[in-house]
Amino acid sequence: MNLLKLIERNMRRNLRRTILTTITIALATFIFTILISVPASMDRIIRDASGTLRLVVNNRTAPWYDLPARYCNEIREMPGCVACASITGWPATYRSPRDVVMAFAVSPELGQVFPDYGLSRSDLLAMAKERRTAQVGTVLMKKEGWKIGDQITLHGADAYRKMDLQFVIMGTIPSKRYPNAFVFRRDYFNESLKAHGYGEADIAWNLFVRADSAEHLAALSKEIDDNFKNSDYETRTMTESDALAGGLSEIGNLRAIVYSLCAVVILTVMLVAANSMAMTVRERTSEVSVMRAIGFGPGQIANLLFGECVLIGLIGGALGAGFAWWMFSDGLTLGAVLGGNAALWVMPPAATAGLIAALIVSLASGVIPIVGTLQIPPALGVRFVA
Amino acid sequence: MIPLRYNIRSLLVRRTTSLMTAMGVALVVMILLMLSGFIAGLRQTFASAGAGGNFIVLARGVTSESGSYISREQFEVIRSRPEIVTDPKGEAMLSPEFLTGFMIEGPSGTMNGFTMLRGVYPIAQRVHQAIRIESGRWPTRGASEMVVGKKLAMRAPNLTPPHQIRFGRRMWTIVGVFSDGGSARESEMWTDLDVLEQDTHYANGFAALHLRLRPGMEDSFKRALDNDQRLRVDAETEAEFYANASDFADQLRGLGLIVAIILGVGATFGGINTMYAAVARRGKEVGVLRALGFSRRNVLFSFIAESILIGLAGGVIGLGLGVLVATATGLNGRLMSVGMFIFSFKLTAGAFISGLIVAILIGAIGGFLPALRAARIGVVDSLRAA
Repeated sequence: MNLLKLIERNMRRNLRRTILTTITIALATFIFTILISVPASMDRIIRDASGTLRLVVNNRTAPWYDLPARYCNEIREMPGCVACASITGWPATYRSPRDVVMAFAVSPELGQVFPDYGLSRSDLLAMAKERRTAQVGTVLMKKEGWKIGDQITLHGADAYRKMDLQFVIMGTIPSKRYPNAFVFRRDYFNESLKAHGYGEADIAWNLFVRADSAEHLAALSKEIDDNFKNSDYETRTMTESDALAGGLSEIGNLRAIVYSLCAVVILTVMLVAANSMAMTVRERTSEVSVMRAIGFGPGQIANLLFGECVLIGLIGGALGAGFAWWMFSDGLTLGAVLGGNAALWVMPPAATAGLIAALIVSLASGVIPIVGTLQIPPALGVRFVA
Repeated sequence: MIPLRYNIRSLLVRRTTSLMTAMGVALVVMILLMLSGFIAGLRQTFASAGAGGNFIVLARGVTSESGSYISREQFEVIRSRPEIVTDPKGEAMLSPEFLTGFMIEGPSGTMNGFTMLRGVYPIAQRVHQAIRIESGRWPTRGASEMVVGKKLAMRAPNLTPPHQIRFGRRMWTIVGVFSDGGSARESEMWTDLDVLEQDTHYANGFAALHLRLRPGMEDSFKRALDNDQRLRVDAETEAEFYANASDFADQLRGLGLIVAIILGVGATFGGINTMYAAVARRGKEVGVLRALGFSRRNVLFSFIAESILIGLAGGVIGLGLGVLVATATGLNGRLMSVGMFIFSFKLTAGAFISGLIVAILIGAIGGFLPALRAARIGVVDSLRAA
C-alpha cells in the first residue's frame, strides 16, 4: 500500500516527463491496436462467411463478368438448394460525383438467401409491395443523412447504365456485417434499364445460392458448374468464405507489411520509453543508494521502480487501446476492396493485445536502467552526481 | 555564438541517451523513406504511361477505361476529325481499345492472379509510340493469341511464350513479349480486339479511344467533341488520365503518413524529454556561459542546435537503415504488385532529402521549449546552486 503511494509521488516529481512518456506510449498503442486489427478483421470476415451455407456463382472467366439471371431457375431445382438470388451491382452517385453509393439490385429471394441481413417480415413485405423500395445499411444511412420514408434519387455512374433512379427508403439493414449495403428490387432495375434503352437482357453479376446443410455445399457447387459447362456462360461456384479469401489475397502481402509496421512502432516507443526511464533512474541514483543504506532491499527498490513502469504502461496503453476501440468498434469502411462492407473492426482481443504490448514495452524499457542502478554499491551511489 | 563543438562534446558525454533519442528519429525517417520508395515507384509507372503525349477519349463522366463505352458510330465520327494526326496514307492515328480483366487459371483449375487484358487493332502499335515487341511477334489478326507486357512476363513465368492459357472458353497461345518504356501498360496482356469481343459478349463498341493530336489542336478537338450532338464523350491527355488513376497511390501515402506522423510525435516527445534533462543537468554550465558574456539568444540557439544535431544524426542513421532494409529484403529493384499494377520500389533523391528535413524538424521542435528554459536560467542563481 505504501509502495503505491511512493510510486505515485515519484511519478509526479517530473510530471512533464511522465506525461510525455505516457502520451508516447498511448499514441503507439493506438496505432498498434489498429494495425493488429487488420489481419484479425480479415480473418473475421472469412470466418463469418463460413457459417452462412451460401455459395457464390461467378462467371468462370472472372468474377466481374456477367451471368444470365435465368440460371437461378435451374439451380433452384437442384437437390440441396434452398433458394437462389441474382444480384447486380449498380455503381451510382448521390449528391456529388465523388459521393459513390454501390447499389445492388436483388431478386425477391433476398430474405431466404440472406437471413443474416436481419430484415424483419414487415421489411420484406414492404419491399414486395413498393417497387422503389431500398433497404440500407446503418452506416450508409448515417453518412447520407437518410431517414426511413425518405425519397431519394441516385445517378448511375457507368456509361452503359447511365440513368436516374428514384427510391423510397423503407428500412434499415440491422446487421453490422453490412453497414454500407444498399439493396433494391431487381424487377424495378430491369424495367428502368429497358425504359432507358439499355437492352432487355436479364443479366446478373453473380448468383447467391443457399444450401440446406453444410454437407450439401460441395455437391451442390459441383452440380452447378457441371450443369453449365460448355454453355455460353460457364460458371465457377465457390463457398462464400473461399470467394472472400480469394479476394483478400488479391490485396497483396498485407499481413507482412502490417506486422513489420507493428514491429517498428514498438521499437520506436521502446526507445523513447527506455530513454525516459534511464533518465529517471539516473537522477535518483544517490537516493536509491540512501534507501539501500537505510535497509531497503534491492527487491523492494526494483518493485518501486518497475511499479512506475507498469503504471505508465497501463495508463498509456489503456488510453491508446481504449481510444482505438472507441473509434473503430463499429467498423471502418475500406471502400471498394470488399464491396463497401466493413473491413476493419477493433475488437476486444486486439485492444487487449495493444494494452499487453504497452505493458511489456514499458516494463522491458526499464530493465537495463533499473538493473544497472541496483548494481552500483550504495557507498559509491551516494556520492554520484547526476 | 557558442561553438558547435561544445554541443557535440556534450552529446558524447551522454552517449547512450543521445543515441537512443537519435534512434527514435531514425525509425521514423526509415518508415518515411520506405513509404516514398513505394509511392515513387507506383507514380513513375503511371507517369510513363502518359509520357507519350497521347490523348484518351472516354464516355462522359467516366473515370476508368473499364467503365467506359464508345459505340462504333461515335468512333466513326471521331475518326474523321481533322485534328488527329494521320500517316502519309491518310490513316488516322486513333486506336480503339477494349480493356477487361480476368483471372488466370492455374494448372489445377485454381485461380492464379488477376490480369488486365487489352484488345487492340494493329494501329495501336503506331499510336503508342513507346511500344516495342521485345521477343516473339504480335498476335495474328483473328487468332486466339496474346502478347504479354514485359513487367508481367517477369513476374509470371507461366505467362511467357510459348505457354498457353485459358481465357473465356478457349485456350490462347502467348506469342510474344512487348515493352512500353516501363509504363503501367507493361502489366497488361494484349490481344486482337475482334477476337476478344467474341469472348466478352461486348460487341459493337469499344471502351476507350487512344489518339495522337496535331500540335496546338487540343482546344479545337475538345470543342468539337462538346458541340457534336452525336457524341457524349470527353478527351483528356493520357498524363491527366493516369494521374487520376494514381489516386490509389495517394490513399496509400495518406495511410502511411498517419502512422509516420504519430510516430514522429512520439519521437519528438522523446527529444523533448532528453533536452529537458540536458538543460536541467547543465544549469551551472549555462550560468558559466552567460557569465563569460554569451547572450540569452546564444544559449537558446546553442540548445536548439544541439537538438537538431541529434535529429540530424537520427536522420542519417534512418536513411542508412532504410537502404539497408531495402537491400537486405531484396525490395530494391524487385517488381511487386498492388492490385493489378506492377511496379518497382524506387528510392529517389527527393525521398532522401525530405527524410533529412523531417529529422531536422523533429530535432528543432523537440529542442525549442527546453532551449527556451535554458535561455531563462539566471546567471547568479545557477552558479550558486549546489
